Amino acid sequence: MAITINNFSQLLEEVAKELDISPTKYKLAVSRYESVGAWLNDGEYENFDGQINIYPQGSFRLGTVVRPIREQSEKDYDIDLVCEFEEQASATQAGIVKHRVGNRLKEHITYKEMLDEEGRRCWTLLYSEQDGAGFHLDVLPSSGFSAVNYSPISITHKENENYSWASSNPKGYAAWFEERNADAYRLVALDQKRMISNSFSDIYAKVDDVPDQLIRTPLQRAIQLMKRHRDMRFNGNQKYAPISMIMTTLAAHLYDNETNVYDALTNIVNKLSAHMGLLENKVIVDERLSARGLIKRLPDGTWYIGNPTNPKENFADRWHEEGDARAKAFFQWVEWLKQDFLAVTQRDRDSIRFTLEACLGKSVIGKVWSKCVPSPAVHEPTKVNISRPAKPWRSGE
Amino acid sequence: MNKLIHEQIQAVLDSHPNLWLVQNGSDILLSGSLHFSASVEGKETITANYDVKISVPYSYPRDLPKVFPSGYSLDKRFEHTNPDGSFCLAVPIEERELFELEPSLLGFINNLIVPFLYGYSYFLKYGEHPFGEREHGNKGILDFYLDTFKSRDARTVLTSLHNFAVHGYRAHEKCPCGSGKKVLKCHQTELKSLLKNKELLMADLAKFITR
Repeated sequence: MAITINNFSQLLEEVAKELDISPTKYKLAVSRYESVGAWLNDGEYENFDGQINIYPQGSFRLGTVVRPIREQSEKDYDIDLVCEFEEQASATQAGIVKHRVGNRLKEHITYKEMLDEEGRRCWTLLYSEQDGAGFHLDVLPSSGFSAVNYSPISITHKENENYSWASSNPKGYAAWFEERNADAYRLVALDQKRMISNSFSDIYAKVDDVPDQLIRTPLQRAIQLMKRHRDMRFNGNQKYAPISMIMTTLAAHLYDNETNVYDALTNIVNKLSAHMGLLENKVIVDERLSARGLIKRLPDGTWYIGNPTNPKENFADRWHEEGDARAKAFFQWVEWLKQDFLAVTQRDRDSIRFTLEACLGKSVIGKVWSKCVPSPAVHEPTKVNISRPAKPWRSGE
Repeated sequence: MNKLIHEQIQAVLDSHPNLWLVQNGSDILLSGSLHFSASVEGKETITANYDVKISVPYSYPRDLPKVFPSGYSLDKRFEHTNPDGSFCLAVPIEERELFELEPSLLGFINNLIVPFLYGYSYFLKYGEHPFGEREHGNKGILDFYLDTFKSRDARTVLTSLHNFAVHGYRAHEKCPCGSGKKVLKCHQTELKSLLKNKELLMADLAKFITR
């Protein structure tokens, strides 16, 4: 029995909602990181008495959060926070900035207990929540001082015992993403705010109380699904799995304001798939797509996917290594996306269900399936006991 | 339609109420959805519902039905469909053997189609075949005979089978598996079952043995 595109798109939307952070949890996360920000701002720091800005970056900021899953079990949300000291990086040192944050967090009785070991770039606070869906707050110490909006900031980087500066532009990237997302956002924002205010009137009494960060366009939904699909399909072979930054950037470039998540995925995945020939150094047939140069193969065999806010940064700088292992994994993943998400009308309902269980997670499909796919009135299933199964074969070579 | 087949169809309709009979001249088609809950020892029970068309040839039961997905095609990653789009349930002689366990249309559904669809569902969920799979074409056929006698020695299995096929079953001959034992004390059951379908056996052997 087939499934309609409408039902399927609705199903994907519901799945993405399940993977997303709930409005209640969102509000909790914001109040948690604001407290961290206040605590850091109240600190006394040697040679620094300026302002400290705390703001989210990455998927939490972009509205593309998905709940991580490992070995079939749902894990805590990752929330990335920038902790930006308003000063020139050249006026201080990476190690000093990193430890300002670490030491200040250790002065707090509770944070001290929650603090994980020092990371390469972050300090991580582990919040375990009563409902089991906790989060990791990754605090990224940095220095930034510029009169120009959306300038890069300097983040600290620890290699062995040495600290150095690296450049990053989380606000610039977020602004670029929001721009790509802006038209679709305008179309869906009011309706979604109404619905959220309706369902969560205890925390957002008025429509205007609902923060913009809770709105999700088909682009954001598509990215969430792609991320979960990657996590599931690469389970156990994480090393070459496509990174979120690449899929987010390419999806945002390719999104054409489709009005539902199925159409958005279809467009994005088909255009990604059109780049597959690059693996064999073939040209991209679609000239307009080729001219955009979103994924490039250079004459020396290396690959290029630029950071839209800093073309010098190449997200695919390691794609040529080990016989193009990451490039191959990327296009394999695109092929899986095609088979798992597209061409639904040519597939059977139950085969869609089982495929989605495999690529999005059994429990989440179990939760939303019956809501979105009307079950045909059928009799009880006929019980069959399989005792001597044959092995399937195929005639011809 | 003769009475025997009519009774067999009725048994199918009683057991699988979502299938119905479409009759067009001498062709018999069972169409609709196969809604089953299949259990296998040591594996999970899978409940699923697939739309199928089961085409029963005029020459049934000499020839066995073909089964087609109805209104969709199987996932390409699951490679076991025939060029005409029908399910490739098993190599022909194995299909015949399993059919003869319960030689009726209902038996065909429960012993061949449902296990196939169980395997397909399992494959979609976990990316692997719960019962294994055969290679395509002749390799898969050879593999079936080797499997049957739990041997890797194709030459011995095939020449010995050929002798049995030509001269008939003789209990004191050596077993095709290469154990050196008399077949009477070895793979007697397996061999006898193969010899029941001598035509299919000979046709298979002709693919490997040049005269």
